Amino acid sequence: MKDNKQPILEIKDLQTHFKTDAGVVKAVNGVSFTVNKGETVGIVGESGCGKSVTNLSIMRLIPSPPGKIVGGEVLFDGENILDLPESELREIRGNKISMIFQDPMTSLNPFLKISTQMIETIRLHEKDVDKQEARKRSIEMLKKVGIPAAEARIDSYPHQFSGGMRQRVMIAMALSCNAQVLIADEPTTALDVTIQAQILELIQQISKDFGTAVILITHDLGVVAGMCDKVCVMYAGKIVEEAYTYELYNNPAHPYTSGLIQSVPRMDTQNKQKKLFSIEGQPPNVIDLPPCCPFHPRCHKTMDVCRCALPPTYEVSEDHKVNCWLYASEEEKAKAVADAAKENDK
Amino acid sequence: MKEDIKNKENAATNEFDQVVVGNSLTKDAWKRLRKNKMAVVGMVIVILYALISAFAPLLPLHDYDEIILDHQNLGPSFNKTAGELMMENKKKELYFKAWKDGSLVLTEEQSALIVSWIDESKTNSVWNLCLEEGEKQLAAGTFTWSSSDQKTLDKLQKKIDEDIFVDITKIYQGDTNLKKLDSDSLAKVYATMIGLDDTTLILEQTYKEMDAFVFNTIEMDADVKKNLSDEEKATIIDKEIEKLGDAYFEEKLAENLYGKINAQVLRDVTKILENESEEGTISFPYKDTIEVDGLTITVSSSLVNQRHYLLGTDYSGRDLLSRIIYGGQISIMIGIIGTLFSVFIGIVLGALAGYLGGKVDYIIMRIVDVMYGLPYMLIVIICMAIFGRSILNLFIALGIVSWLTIARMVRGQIMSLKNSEYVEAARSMGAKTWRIIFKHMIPNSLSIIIVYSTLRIPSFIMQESFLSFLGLGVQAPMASWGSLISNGVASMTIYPWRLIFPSIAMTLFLFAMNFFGDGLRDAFDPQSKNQL
Amino acid sequence: MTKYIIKRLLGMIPTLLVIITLSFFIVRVAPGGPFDGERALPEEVLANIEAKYHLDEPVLQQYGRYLFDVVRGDLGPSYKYVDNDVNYYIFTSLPNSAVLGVVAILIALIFGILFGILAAIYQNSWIDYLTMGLAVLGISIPLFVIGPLLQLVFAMKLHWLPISGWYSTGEGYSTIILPAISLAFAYFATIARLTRSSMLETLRSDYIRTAKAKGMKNSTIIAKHAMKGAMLPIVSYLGPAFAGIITGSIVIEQVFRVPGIGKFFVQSSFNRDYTLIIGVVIVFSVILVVMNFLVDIVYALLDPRIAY
Repeated sequence: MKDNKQPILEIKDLQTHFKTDAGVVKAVNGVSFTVNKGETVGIVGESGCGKSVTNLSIMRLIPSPPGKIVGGEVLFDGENILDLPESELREIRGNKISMIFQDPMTSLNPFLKISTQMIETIRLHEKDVDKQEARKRSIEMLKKVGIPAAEARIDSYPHQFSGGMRQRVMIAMALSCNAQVLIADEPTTALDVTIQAQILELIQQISKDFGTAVILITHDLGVVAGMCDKVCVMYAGKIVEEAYTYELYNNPAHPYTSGLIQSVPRMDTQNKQKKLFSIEGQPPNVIDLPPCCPFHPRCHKTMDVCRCALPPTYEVSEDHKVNCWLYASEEEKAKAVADAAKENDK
Repeated sequence: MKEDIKNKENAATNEFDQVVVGNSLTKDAWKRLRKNKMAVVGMVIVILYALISAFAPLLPLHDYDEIILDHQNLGPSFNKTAGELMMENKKKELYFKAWKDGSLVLTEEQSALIVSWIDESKTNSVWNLCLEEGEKQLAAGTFTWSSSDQKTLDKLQKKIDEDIFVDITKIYQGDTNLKKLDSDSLAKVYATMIGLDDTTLILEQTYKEMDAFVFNTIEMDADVKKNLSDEEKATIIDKEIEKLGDAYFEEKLAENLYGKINAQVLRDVTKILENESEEGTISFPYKDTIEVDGLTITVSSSLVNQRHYLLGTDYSGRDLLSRIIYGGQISIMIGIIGTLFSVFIGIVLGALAGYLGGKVDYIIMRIVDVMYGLPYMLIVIICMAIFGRSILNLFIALGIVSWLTIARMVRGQIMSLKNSEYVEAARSMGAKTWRIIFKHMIPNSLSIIIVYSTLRIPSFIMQESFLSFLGLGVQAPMASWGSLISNGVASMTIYPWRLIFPSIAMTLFLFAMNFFGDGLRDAFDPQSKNQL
Repeated sequence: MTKYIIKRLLGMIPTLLVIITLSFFIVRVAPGGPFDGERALPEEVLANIEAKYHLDEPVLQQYGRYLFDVVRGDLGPSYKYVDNDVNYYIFTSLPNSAVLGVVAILIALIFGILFGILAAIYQNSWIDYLTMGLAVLGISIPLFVIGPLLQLVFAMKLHWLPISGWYSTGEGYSTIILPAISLAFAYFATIARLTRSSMLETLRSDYIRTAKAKGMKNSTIIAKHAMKGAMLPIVSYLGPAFAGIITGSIVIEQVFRVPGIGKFFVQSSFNRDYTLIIGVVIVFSVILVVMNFLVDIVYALLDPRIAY
C-alpha cells in the first residue's frame, strides 16, 4: 500500500479567518494533510471545529467577506490552487475536484430542471460535447447512481425528488466530469439512517470504479471506520491527530480521539448496562484563544504545560501524528512552562 | 486599553481567560445600531425634529396663523427686515414700470434679454435686472423717480417705519374674561363702549349680520341665491337656524359681538400706542396691559416691518419658518398617532386570528386578503371628500386601511409562539386566553412590532401629506407639510422658496426616519447577524 | 395550470363585489346628496331629477340596479356632467393614464432591477452606495415633491423638457418623460432595494455555492442560476406597486396637467358625483385585480415549487 503512494492533493498549513463583530475567528488555523490518489481520507470533529471551512478553502469557496484564506498552500498535482487566477481555478472546480454538500434539499437549484443542471456541468468543462450527448451521459450517470427511470426523471425539478435521491443526483453531477478528488461534506447528515448507508456505499463504489480520491467530512466515527483509509481528527481549527484508520482505532494517541471513539455506541462490548461515554464541556470559542492546548479544560490528562503552551506535533509511530504534550519529554515540557512564564511577566 | 483590562478583571471569564458576555437581544441590537452611522445620524435628526416640534411654543417664532397682508410672499432673508424686502419689491415693480414706459433706459442687449425672459416667464430675473440697473443709474444720477413714484415710495417708507402691529391677547372687565360672557352681557359691554344706553340697536344689527352669515354658509347655486325674494330668503334662513340649534347660534352670536368689541378695542389701543410712539414714550416690542373704555386689555405690540423672516412668508404673509415647524408638529403627530391607531387594530385582530385560529382566523384573513387587493387610498380619498376634512376623519380613514400588514405579522408571530413551551406551561396552569395573549405573547412580539411601527411612521406622514396635497387633509389656517408643499407648488415659478423649504423639511425628516427605521430593523433582525 | 387560472379568475369576483358594494354604500350613507346644492329648486323639479336618476327608490333597489348595469358594462350617467355618461369620461381619459402608468412601471422595473443587481454584485462599492442612497431618497421624497422639483430643474431652469401637458393634445412625446419619472421614482427605489437584498440572499444560498463548485463563471451564475430566484420578491411586489402607481397618478396628473382619469376622480369626489366616483373606483379596481392575477400567474410560472 505504501508503495503506490502518489499525492494528488496536499494541504500545507492552511489558515482561514473570519472577521466578525466580536473579533477574528480563526476557523482553520494551520491545517496540513495529504490525500493520495484513489485514497479516502476522513476528517472528523465536532460541529464548528473547522472541517467544512477547511474543505471550502480547498475550493476557494469561502464567502469573502467576512472569510479570508490568510495563509498556507493547497497543492493539486503540485500546483498551488490558492495562487491560481480565477479562470484556471474554474477549470479545476467541478472538473478535477468536485464537491457534495451536506444538505441536498438546498444544494440543487430549485428553479432549474435536473437535466439543465447536469448538462450544463458537463458542457462547462467539455466544450465539444453537444447537448444530446451531454444529456445521454447525464442519464447514464443518473442510472449509475441508482435513479430509477432516469430517462423520464431527468426532466423533473429537484423538489420532485426525495432527499436521498437528490443526494444521488448531486453525486452524479459531481462525478459527471470524472473528477480526481471528491470532497463530500457530511453527505449523509441530512438523510434518513437507511438512506445514509446506501449513499455511503454509493460513494465508496464510485470511488473504486473511477479511482477517485475522496475527502469525507463527518462527525460520525462509525462512518469513518467503514470507509476511510486515513483519518484526520480536527479540534478548534487544528488537526490534532492523523493516522491510518486501523491504527487510529486501535491506538488512539490523543485524549480527544479516544474520547470520540469511546462515545460511539457499540453492539459488541460486554457491559451494555454501562453508560455511554461522553466528553464533558464545550469546544472553545476560537476568537483570541490564548496559547494553550485548546482541549485542556475537557481533558482528563491535563498537565500544567497544557494550560500555557500549544502542543507541537509528535510522531507516535510511522504515519501516525498527534498534537499532544503527553508525548513530550520532561525537559521539553519544563522549557515550555518556563517560556510561558517569561512571556507572562512581560 | 486600560479600561479593557479593568473590565476583564471584573467580568466573568472561562477556562481560556476569555471574557464571557451575556447575550441580550436588546443590548446586542443597540450595539449594532450604534455601529450603523447613517442610522445614528437619522436618529439624531429625528430627535431634533421631535424636540423642535415639542417645544415649538417656547421658541421665539411668529404666530403660524398670523396674517399680515403687507407681508405677502416675502423672500427668505437672513439680514433684511420685512420692511426692506417690501421696499425692494416695490422698487422692482416701479423700475420695471419705468423701463416699460421708457423713463429707465437700458442697453439694447439688456432690453432684449428682458423681452426674452418675459417670454419664458422668468419674472424674477426680469425684476432683479431692473432693480440692479435702476439702483446703479439712480446712484449715478442718470435716472430719477417720477414724482408720483417718489410719492409712492415715500409713503411706503413712512408706513414701514411707523406701522405698528397690535395684538390683543385678552380683554377683561374687572376680573372676568370677556370670552366667557354670554351674548347679552357682551352686547351691554359694547353698548357702553360706543356710548349707547341700551342694547336693542346693537342686537338688531347683530341679528342682521347673523342672518347674512347663515345665508352665506348655505350651499346653493349662486344664480339661484341671487334671485331669491326677501321672503324666500327669510324662510330659508329660519329653517337653517332651526337646523343649527340654539346653542350653536348663541355661540356664533357671542363670537360676533366679541369680534365687534375686539375691533373697537384694537382701534382705540392702536391710536394710543401710535400717539405714544410719535412722542417717543414707548419702545418696541411692547407688552403690557392698558385700560381703555373701562376694560383691561393685555396687549403686545411691535414694529411689524422690523421683523425678520428667515424662510420668507406665504401668500397671506404668514411666517413660513413657523408654519413649517407647526406643520411638522401636525405631520409628525399624525404619523405617530395614526401608526399607534393602526398598530393597535392590527395587534388586536392579528392576535385574535393567530391565537383563536379556526373560523375567526379564516374570516379575518379573508378580510385582509380582500383589502390588500383594494386601491385603498382611493377609498380614503372618497371618505375624506365626503365625510369632511377633519383631522379625526383622517386618522380613522388611514387607520382603518393600514392595519393589514401588522395584523398579518402579529398573527404569524402568535402562531409560532402558540406552541412554544412557556405558553403551554401558562395554559397548563390554567391561565385565561386573554391573559396568555397579553401577558405572554404580545410582549414577546413587541420588538418586532416596535421596529415595524417605526418603519410605518414615514409612510403615514406620506399618506397624510398626499391627502393634504389634494386638499383633503389638514385645512388652513392649520398647516401640515403636505398642505404647505401643495401651496408652494401653485406658485413655484415666482416664489420657489415656498415649495423648496417645506419640501426640504419634510424630505429630510422622512430620510432620517427611514435610515433610523432601517437601522433598527437590521439591528433587531437576528438573521443579519454575522454568524459563522 | 388551467384549473389554477380558473380558480384565480373566480377568486377575483368577491373582491370586485366588495369594492363595488363598499364604494356604493360609502357614497350613499354620506351626508348630503349630489343635488343638495339646488335645494331651492321647487320640490317637483327635485323629485323629477331624483326620479330620473332613480334616487327615489329604496337603497337596496338602487344597489341591485347599479350592480346589474355594471355587469353589463354600463357605469351609468354622470350626475354633474350632463353631456355624456360615465363610460365616456372614463374611457376617453383612461388611455392617457394607462400610458403614464405603463411607462412608469417599465422605468421602475428596468432601472430598479439593473441597479439592484449591480449593487448586489459590487457590494460596498460606489454603485452599491449610490443605489442605496437613491433607494432611501426614493421612499423618503414624496412624489408631489419630486414632480415639481423635476419641473423646476429640467423644464424651467434647463429647458430640456416641457413643463407640463400631454402628447395627446399635440405637445410631443417628450411630455411623458417627466411625469413618468416622477411617478416611477419611488417604485424604482423599492425595486432596486428589493432586488439587491434578494440577490444578495440568493447569492448566499447553497445552490449558488454548488454552481460555483461546478466551476461556473460568476456572470453565468447570476444570469442562469440566481436571477429566477431573486426575481420572485420583485414579482410579488408588483401588485402593491401597481396599486401605488394608480394612486400616485392622481397627484402626478394634477401636477403635470395630464388629461387622465385621476382628475375626474378628485373632481367627482368634491362634487359628490356618485356614479363617476364609483365608476373610477371600479375601473381602477378591475385593473388592479387583473394585474394581481397576472402577477400570480407569472409567479407560478417562475417558481416550479408552487403547486397549482
